[in-house]
Amino acid sequence: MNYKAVPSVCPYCGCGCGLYLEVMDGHLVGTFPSPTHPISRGSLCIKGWSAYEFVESEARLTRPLWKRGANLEPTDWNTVLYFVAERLKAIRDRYGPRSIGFLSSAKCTNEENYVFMKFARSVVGTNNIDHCARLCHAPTVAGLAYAFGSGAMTNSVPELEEASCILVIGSNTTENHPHDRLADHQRPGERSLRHSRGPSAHPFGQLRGPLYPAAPGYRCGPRERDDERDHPGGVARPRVYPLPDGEPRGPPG
Amino acid sequence: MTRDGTRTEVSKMEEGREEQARERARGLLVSGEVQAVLGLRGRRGQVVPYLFSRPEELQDLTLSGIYPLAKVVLRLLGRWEDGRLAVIARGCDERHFVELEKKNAVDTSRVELIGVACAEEEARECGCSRPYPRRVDAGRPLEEADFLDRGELEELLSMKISERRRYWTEVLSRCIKCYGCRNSCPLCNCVDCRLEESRWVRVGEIPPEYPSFHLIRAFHLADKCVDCGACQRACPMHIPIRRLHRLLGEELKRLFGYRAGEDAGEVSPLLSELEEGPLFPGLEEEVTRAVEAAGREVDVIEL
Repeated sequence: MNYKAVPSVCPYCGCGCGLYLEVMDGHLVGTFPSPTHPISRGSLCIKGWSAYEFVESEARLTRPLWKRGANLEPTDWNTVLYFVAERLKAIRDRYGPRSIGFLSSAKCTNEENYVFMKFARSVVGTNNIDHCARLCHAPTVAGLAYAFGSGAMTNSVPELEEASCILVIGSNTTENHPHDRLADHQRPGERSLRHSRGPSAHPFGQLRGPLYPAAPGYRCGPRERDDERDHPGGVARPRVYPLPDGEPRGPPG
Repeated sequence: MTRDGTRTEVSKMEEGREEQARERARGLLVSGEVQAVLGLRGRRGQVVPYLFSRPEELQDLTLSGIYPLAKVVLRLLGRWEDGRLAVIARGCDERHFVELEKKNAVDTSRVELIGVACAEEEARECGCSRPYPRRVDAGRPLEEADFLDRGELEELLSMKISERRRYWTEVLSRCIKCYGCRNSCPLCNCVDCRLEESRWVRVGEIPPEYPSFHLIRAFHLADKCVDCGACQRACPMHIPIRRLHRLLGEELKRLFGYRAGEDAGEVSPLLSELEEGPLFPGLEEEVTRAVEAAGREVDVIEL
């Protein structure tokens, strides 16, 4: 019988919380948060706590399934790999290498994407390769670069605690990126607010009216007395105003 | 270990404590009384639970850190056919085992506790009321120590009902339903956890319905919680959940003189047979008084 806890990182969202994988006799039996992780500091959401479950789940596929008609028939790797290789070769020979497109994923490892790219360019002979970041991260890189001068996260996670106002647009932060550092922003009178048409207005205050993400020139105003009237229940929410000219501002300097 | 992961600085006098623990562990392993020792291993800056099965491994055994090891023991004994293990046990760990024994969840003949007395810094950090186990193999027990902040409980109880309700609504509304409190608690080991039943807790609703999610857990643990603080350390939203459990624990102490984790032979006052008489003698008068004091009328239903 042996038991150990192996340090790792949660495979789910961008918070990247540190956790430990509990291994008993070679089997993954649980996870628990790592209190010494500098970013997550012992926090973990339900996804992280359950991250071990799928690894040895009985619901996992163990053999490739070949669709014949309406049925998915279990088969073996040699058969399917041979079939795929033959068909790709035939399509390339008949229609040319550019007839084949390759779509990968940002969820894959760098190594997997490298092999995929090598396969597309060197083996098949096409540049038609892309992945999901084209839709998602690429536009935000451009937008952030224009607005803040850098296409990546422009602050460190610990700096979230020092923010005097946090504006969350189009995100259900509570469920998507549950960082413990944002927990302190949720007390009444705190300065977090969120604009979304999503179902959970909680735990952040809800902005009223439409917010146009293309105009990053909004600024946060101080808490006002008539917030009490607008938001009964004693939870104050700051107002947000568009800047006078309403035009987006470029990076400073 | 503090909330942000830094290790509590323990005074020089406590350094001999680790060696004492190692000695005891080594002795038990070498003599064959146990096949393995469960404790914390410090390696490359990480302090994690580990099952030491060879005496040479014990040099990495460390006491600078805290983890509810009883939780791991439950899992180990479940998968291990036979065999005995020793467990590094602080006061809270020993109390876990007392409660687990009451539930018949642990075959205590297979578990040998290596008692560790907490240092003053550690006890203060945890707000502990009894930072040492019955039998101490390592360290000196701080017999007079009681760092439980009863002041904060009294402060809560002195608030008006409406203030208290506002307080708990606010703090519990931060809950993201990570189940960290439940997952880290050694006394939370029901096969069918009520918190996962859609009848009591709606699926996909965050925060979970106030106040049922947290109260279900608090009431289920009222006579079992030993105030180890694992739930509080696990909460990513800094909900003062331990305060809720402490309040209930203090109530049980006040009403029935019962404290969880003290004596495996002590039966919880929440378990009794109705035929013997009223479930809580004196409670009816107490409740009536409290409700009337709040300005409401009382309807008593005679069973």
